[in-house]
Amino acid sequence: MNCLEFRHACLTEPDSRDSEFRAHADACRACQAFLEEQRLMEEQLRRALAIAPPAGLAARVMLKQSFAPRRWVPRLAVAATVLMAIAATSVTYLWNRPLSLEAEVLAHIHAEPEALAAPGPVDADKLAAVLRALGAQLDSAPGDDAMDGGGTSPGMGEVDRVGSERSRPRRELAVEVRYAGICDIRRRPGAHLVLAGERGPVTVLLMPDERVSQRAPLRTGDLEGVVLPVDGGSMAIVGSRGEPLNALEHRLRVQFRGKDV
Amino acid sequence: MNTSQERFTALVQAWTADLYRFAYWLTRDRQRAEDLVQETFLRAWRSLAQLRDDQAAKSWLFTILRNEYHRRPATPGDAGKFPAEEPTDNSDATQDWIVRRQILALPEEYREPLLLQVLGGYDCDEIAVLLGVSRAAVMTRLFRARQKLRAALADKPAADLPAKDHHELP
Repeated sequence: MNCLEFRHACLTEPDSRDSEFRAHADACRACQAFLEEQRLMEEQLRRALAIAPPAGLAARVMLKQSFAPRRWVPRLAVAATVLMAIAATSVTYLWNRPLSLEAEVLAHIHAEPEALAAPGPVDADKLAAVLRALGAQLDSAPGDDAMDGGGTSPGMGEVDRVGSERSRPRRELAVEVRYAGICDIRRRPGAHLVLAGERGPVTVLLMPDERVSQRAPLRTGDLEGVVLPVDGGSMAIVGSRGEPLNALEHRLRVQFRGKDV
Repeated sequence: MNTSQERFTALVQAWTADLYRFAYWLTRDRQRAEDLVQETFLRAWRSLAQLRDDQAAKSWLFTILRNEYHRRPATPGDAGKFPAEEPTDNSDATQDWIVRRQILALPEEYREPLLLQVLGGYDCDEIAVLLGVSRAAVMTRLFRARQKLRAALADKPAADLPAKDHHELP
């Protein structure tokens, strides 16, 4: 490490414990003086940043929390017959104007980073409890040769999630579920699932109270996906840019019946 | 095992002050900082089951706060709000005021990584993940943040510092 590199490191990571960094400080008197100067500035910086929070802030946080409904996420110990209660108030969004469903879906995903980061896996009982609370049935459609290789997605009105359901056997969801919970989406209960995709987490929102007339793509800086009509409601599937969602879109079968909430 | 309420109360007691400081230096607005802290803890309460390890609590809370901050763009009046106190003498308080003024004057792209490093305790790789940029970009921004602070505080022209910049902003 030369003097130039050392002084750069002083301004990027002044508390570095790197052995080369320390060795240079020991060997070069001028650089050691520079480092000492920078350390004094770091002390000034820390002192200046250490402002006092307003009096009573922690107490106000606790007060607000005491009025806040808790969104319930299934745990391992919860019996499958526990009734899911949905909070009366919705998750607050800061936009003033009403948003389209597509925009709300994207906003909801961005507002819940902990769902995307959940390591999973969620076991079958937990997933079943979430779905049952919404009156939803979610499973995998049998493989369809026409759709293999990422074929074209169906157009308007062609999504078939009912009708032949009785003649097709139900199949386990053939993808890892990392997160499952009930959320408020546009002030209505929905299921928020996160599946393991090829490029990263894939969010699936099941919305029994939302009706969309046709499949609609959605896209933001780092996410893309689709909102589409399903039997009894709608479903959003959103993944990272470039995630192959077509196969998943055709594989997931959703049906909403009577809800428990 | 502690109840959720006990865990949450412990989080509030442990991290409110640090979260407020981070929120204040990000927003440069005391009221907005308090609102952000409130919103952060509300989200934390709803997602408490996701927090499995108390060692990860600070990082988790800082991430929630940062996400909440970036969901709402700054309003035009947010820029350039300095702390209320004015320098009156040559004391430490005056020096603090001067440093604070300089920190507030840093553009957000330099200020935020500096706050994440100094207040949040994140290393450059972690900051890169949070900001969605390369490690090299983080190091450039930290370098420029400190370069500006040094120049302003020591009354030194920036030319006294190493001129060659290894890292280019993306």
